[in-house]
Parts: sequence; structure tokens; C-alpha cells
Amino acid sequence: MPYPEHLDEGTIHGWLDGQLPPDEAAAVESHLAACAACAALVAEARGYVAGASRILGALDGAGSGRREAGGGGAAPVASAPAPQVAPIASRRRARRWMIPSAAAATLVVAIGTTLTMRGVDERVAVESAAVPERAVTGSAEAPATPDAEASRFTMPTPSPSARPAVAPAPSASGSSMGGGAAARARVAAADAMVAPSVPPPAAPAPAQPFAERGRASAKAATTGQTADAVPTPSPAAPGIQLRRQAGAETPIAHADASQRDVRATAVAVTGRVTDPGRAPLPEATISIVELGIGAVSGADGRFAFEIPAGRVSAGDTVRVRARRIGFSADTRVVTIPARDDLTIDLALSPTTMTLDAVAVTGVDATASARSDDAAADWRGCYLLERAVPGLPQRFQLDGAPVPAGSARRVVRAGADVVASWEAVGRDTARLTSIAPPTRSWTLVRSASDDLVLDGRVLRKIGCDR
Amino acid sequence: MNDQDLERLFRQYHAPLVRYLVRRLGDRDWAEEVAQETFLRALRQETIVSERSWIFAVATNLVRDEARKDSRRRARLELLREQERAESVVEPEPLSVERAEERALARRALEALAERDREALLMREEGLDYHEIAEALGLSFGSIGTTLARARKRLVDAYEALQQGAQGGTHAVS
Repeated sequence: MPYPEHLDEGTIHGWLDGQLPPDEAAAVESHLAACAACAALVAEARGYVAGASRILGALDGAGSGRREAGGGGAAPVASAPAPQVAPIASRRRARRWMIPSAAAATLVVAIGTTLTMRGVDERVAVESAAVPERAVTGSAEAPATPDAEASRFTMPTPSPSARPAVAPAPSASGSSMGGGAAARARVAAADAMVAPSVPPPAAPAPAQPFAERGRASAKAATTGQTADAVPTPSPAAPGIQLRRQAGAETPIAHADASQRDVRATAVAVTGRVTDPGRAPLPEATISIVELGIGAVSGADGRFAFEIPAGRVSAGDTVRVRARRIGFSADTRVVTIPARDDLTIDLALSPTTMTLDAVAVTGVDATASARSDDAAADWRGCYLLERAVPGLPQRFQLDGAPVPAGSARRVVRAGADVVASWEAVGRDTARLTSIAPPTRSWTLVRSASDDLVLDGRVLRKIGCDR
Repeated sequence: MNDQDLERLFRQYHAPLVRYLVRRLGDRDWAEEVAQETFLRALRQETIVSERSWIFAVATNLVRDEARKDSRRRARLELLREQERAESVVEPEPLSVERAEERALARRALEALAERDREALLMREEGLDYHEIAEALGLSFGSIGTTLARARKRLVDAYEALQQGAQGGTHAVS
């Protein structure tokens, strides 16, 4: 039976969930082929289905000292044909390896759902004036069955028609693993630096590239870049033991021993770390000295972590310390509120690093030769392990300058020029989209030699096709 | 039901059930407890016709009953348990910015849903089909699509609204 009327939402969700009887599903499909309005509703519903799944995924592993027991490692539900089960399961699998990265995945999506609809608009604007219909029909005819649709949904495929209707679903393979490892390496480095026994590091101060990243941060924040959390303090980590020596033995200053008002709820500690000029400082380590818990600030300098319920009482004072390579630590004494959460902004001042000696052994020919060198290093084809809105998943950093003679070069996806790029240094390159709205991304070679673009791992691949 | 059946049932449904309950309750230990009680009840059952919806229905009812009955006592136990946990050496997973915020927002958004919508959505996420959800919640098959449509929409909308509120509208997505 055909649908002479427009589809209602229940039917659309039933269809997307693969729950309609075959004849009804067929009727829905034939209606969708002809009805742009309903196709648009389907695209929207698809966004809701995926968005809801991912929001719920954020709740997993909540509220227990035990980590990800039972349900955490769950295999995908055996008999579930449900389209949305797949992404959840794969995300969960990833989380077992790389706990912090999962958060990025979920966050991206939440934003992704917003982007979804916007993506449609942009496309319409860019491509032709004609047309909600066009964008939408494209997305509606693409899937033959709800299942096919689901797979397109979870993994952004190159199909141009499916793209705009679909949130850029991060497949969350272990993709930010590299980034996480890098962040940990940096944290470890930060700890090493405060060790009294460690000699001043001979490496040049990383202030410049970090500052660079700081500038890129607002962008990163909007695309949901991960801030990797500090590894849990464990006796095995020498850097962290050090920190314990420094502070952990200090007992918490309790308000009034006779009437302790133990916090029955977790205290969320959030805030922002900045430099004196109010620019955000990513990758600063923030910790509660007395408790040995904390987090690392994200690209926008923001951080958040929780003091679990029962660990502190209202009126207790604890020290919150932020620390980062190249900056002097900032410590605040804060009082635990009775009910509220804590918001703490910390400002770090740069320290001058003294290096024993700087040996300069010869000078490169010209600046442009140097930038050419740097550029040569970046050229090649890349594969993003997770989609970045606005960028194709596969692209090539080409050597051709745009315009001729400039340091900006062409980024191609297939034969199309999609963006420009420029080497900013040996470890940083900047990509900028060509079509409005202009976006830019920072490509960074991290400490562990991974390439990271906006928090996503980038793989260099062969250019042959 | 014999032990062998129970074992199979457990292997098949324990993980999704616990995940459902954790999402529903926000507490793993409590979730495990309810799951355990559910399987114990299954053991006492002669036969179960529609296993998955039976299990989810029983767990859901246990949650409802318990919530009604002794929420105050539970809160007290929670506190004691948290204290005990604090004294043990287990450190909580450190949370990244996004993860902590994400979780808090997700929890609040989920709480914004009507009870039935929430249960239906969480069950669907564990792979229950519309028939199973209908059975577990005592709804008609025909209403599940509408229920889920409403639940998903509200969840996402609530989440986005909270998120915008949390960011003070400063991080417009460009």
C-alpha cells in the first residue's frame, strides 16, 4: 500500500530501525523516492537516531570505581540488526584500548548532529541555488534499504549524495591513540621537568609550536578535539610518584572534624588555563595536589574532571595546581563548596628556559629554501582515520603553489582542489579550505611521530591509485 | 529453568542488560545488582517465552520498584559505599574535559525524557526490536516508532540546548 499521505515520524523511525514489515517498508521507500519533504524528514531523523545513540554512549562506564567491567567489553548484541548498534559497539571496543578517545568520538557527534543540517544548507548554497530538493533527494535515494543506509551513516563514504545528510560520524577506531600517546609522552615530560634530579632539558623550548596550537584551539574546540586525560597515578609511573612526594602526603585541611559534611555527590572541577595574555594553554596538567587526581587541558585551555563523591567534605581546602612545560606552575587553594561544583581559572606565566649552550653549526642558504625543505617533508597523500568536517577523508598535499610563487600550496581530493596548505615549520602545517565558509586546520607532527589533524590521526598513504 | 539455561541467558543478555541499567541508573554497582536479581528471578521461572523482553521488563520493574521503595535508604548506602571506595586505592578514571562534560550533559538530557520514552530508547539501544520493547513496556507495537522518534528528538534537543547553555553560546560551530 502506497503512502498517499506524508510519512509520520514514527514510521520514519520504524523504517530507519528496520522494524517495518516488508510491504510497509517498500511503500515508505517508494514514497520517499517521490517526496522531497519526507526525504528531508528522514535525513533529519537519521541525525537524531545517531545523535541519541552517541549521547547515550557517553553514559557508559559511569559512576563506579570499577572500570568498564561487564558491559564495557560487550560484544555487539548478537541478534540485533539495529543499525545504531554497530557504531556503539565499535566505539566501545575502541574505548577499551584508549579510554580518553572515546569521549572525543561522542562529543564530535553531538556537534556533528548540528553540523548535519548545516551541512545540507552549505551544500545547497555552494552547489546551486535550486534547492532543498536536490540535496535531500540525493540523500533519500541513496539508501536502498535501511541497513544500507545505516552503514552509510556510520562510515562516511565518498558518496557525495549521502554526505551532507549525514553527521560526520567518527568511526572511532583507535584513532586518537597516537594523539593520546603523544599527550601522555608530553605529560611524562612535564613531570620529568619538575623532578629535582633531572637536569634542565636540552631541547629547545617548545613554546612556539604550542602557541601555534593555542591559536588553532578555538577551531579545534568546535570540532571536538580530545583532551587526553592524565594517566591515573600509579606506582609504576615515576613522574607521578614525584608529584606524590611533593604533595600527596599533605592531608586535606578539613573544615571541622566534628561535623564533616562529606560530599555525597561528585564535585565537578572545570576551568580554563591561560597564559598571561588570556590565550588558552592546551596540555597543561591540572591536579588536586592532595588527591592526586586531575586532567589535562584541552585545545581551548579548558579542563574538567571530577572529585568522586565521598573524597572531600564541604569546607575542605585543597590545592589545585596547573603546570605546563615552559611555564611556572600556578597553585590555588580552593574550598570545597557544600553543593556546587568548582570553576577555577588558572593563568601560567612563561618561564625563561636556560640552555647550557646553543651551538650553531652553519646556516641554511635562504629562508625560502628552508620553507621548501619543510614543505617537501609534508608532501604526499594522507588518510584521515576519522572524518573532519569540511575535509575529505583522503587528500593530497600537492607541491603546486597557489597562487604561483607563494608558499601556499594545493590540497587535492582526487583531481579537485579542496584547500590550500602551507608548512609552518618542521612539525606544523596549516590547511585552509578554499570554499566558504573558510576553515583552517593545523596539522602537527606529535612527539610520537604521529601526524595529528584537529585531534584526528592522519596516516600518510601512497599516492598511487 | 535449569542452570544451563541460566548460563546461556546470562552470557547472551548480561552485558547489554548491565549497559542498559548503567545508562538508566548512572551507577555500575547498582546496575550489576539489579541485573543479578533479574537473572535470579529468571532461574525461578519455569519457562520464558520472549527472553529478551522478559529480562528487560523485569529489570525495568525492579528499578521502578526500588526507586519507589527505598530511595532514601539507597542514598545512604551509596554514600557509605562511596566512602569505602574513597578509602580503597582504586583511582577513578581520570576524565578529560569532553568526557566529563559529555557525561554530565548526557545524564541531564536523559533525565529530561519521560520515563517510558527513556526506557524504550535505552532498550532499543541494546538491540531490542519493536515487538520486544512493546512487550517489555506494555505498549502497542504501533506506538514504538512514535515513542522512539519523540525520545530521540528530545534527547538530542535537550543535549544540544544544555551544551549551548554550558558553553554560553561562545563556541558557535562554524
